[in-house]
Amino acid sequence: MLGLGVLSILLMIIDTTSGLLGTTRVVFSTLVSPLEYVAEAVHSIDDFVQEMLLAPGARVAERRALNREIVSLRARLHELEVITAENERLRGLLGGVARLDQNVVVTDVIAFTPGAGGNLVTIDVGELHSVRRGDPVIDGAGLCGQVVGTGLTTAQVLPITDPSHSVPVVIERTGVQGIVTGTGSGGFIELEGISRVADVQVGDLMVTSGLGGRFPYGYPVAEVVSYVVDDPIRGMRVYAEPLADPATSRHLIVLRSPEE
Amino acid sequence: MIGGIFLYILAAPLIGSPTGYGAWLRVEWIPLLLFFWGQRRPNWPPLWIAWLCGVFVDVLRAEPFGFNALFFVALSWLLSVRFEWFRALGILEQCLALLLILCLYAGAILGALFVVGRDLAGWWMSFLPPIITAALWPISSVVLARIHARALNV
Repeated sequence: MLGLGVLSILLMIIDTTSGLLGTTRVVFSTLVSPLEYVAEAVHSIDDFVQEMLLAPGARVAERRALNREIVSLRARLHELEVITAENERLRGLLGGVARLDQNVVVTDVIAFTPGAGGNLVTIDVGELHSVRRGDPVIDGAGLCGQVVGTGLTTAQVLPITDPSHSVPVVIERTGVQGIVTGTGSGGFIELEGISRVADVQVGDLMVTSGLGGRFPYGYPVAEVVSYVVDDPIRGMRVYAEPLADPATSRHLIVLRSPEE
Repeated sequence: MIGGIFLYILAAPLIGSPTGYGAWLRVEWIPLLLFFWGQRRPNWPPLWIAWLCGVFVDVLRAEPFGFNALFFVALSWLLSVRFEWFRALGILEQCLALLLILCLYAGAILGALFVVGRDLAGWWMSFLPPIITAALWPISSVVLARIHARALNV
């Protein structure tokens, strides 16, 4: 008991203060991935039965491939919409923003794993697909979260609604910037650190601001649903509903960071 | 152990929403199984198996290594030295004991998150899984006892 307890504490200290256990985590994550694939098999059987009952004769594999393509195209469409809006705001100035083609990979959701701040989403790509911790993850509607753990063929995604998740954003209409944090409850996120007199309206779209370099600029994040302006300490508090919904997205897109 | 994995596999796809309140409507299967087997068969599973389960949970939940492992080892050790006391409790008292243990577990996780500077908004929802797990103890203990008896007969 004592030995294992001391070992656990040592592992905690090493893991939180250094990156020495990165490879070990990948090995364990790979060992545990069959469990997640078995869980996914239950979903696959459910999908197959639904296909057979609701759309007789449809090709299941073809439909899955098309669904993946739709998600990918929607993400591209959002990029184009953001570029158009930006170009209008800059009144035709050329070269306002040069967006690089993101190195993306389309994935399947294979499990929801309970985590300390809510459920993590497990996807079917990992180190073998050059997915790294910190890579942003989107779906067809907007930003979903970021990769917080990787195995060889799987990765865990922390949703943006988790209290430990923060994203720098900008309100598209006014350019007001801030950092949104998950509330962990009700599926909402909260915008912090903005002035009490900032111009914010219900329905405003928040997109990633690109500050810090982790999340590329311009991806839709959430829509403002309410705000409180009379908080004397924290300034204006804005609550928003994320556009992405990992609960219903069977396919997600990882924006892979450039190779170091 | 095999039963634990089996139940966990069964439970995983049943977890509904990864966001919102649905994220907290879950059962802590592994502590529940350790609680059951710790009473039925003291010193089984061995501490190192409980530790290994904890490490796998650490990986699944992307939490620091040793986080859950330490709790699972402590729980197994407690049951191995106090199994007669737990066995003597009535079913309702066992529910409360399990609730207390799991609340300590949830509190320890919250404490660790606080130490590393995480925002603890919605912290009270961390105590939903312990409540759900403890509430399911009367049913799950009967089901597990039947599985256990059948396994012994075979």
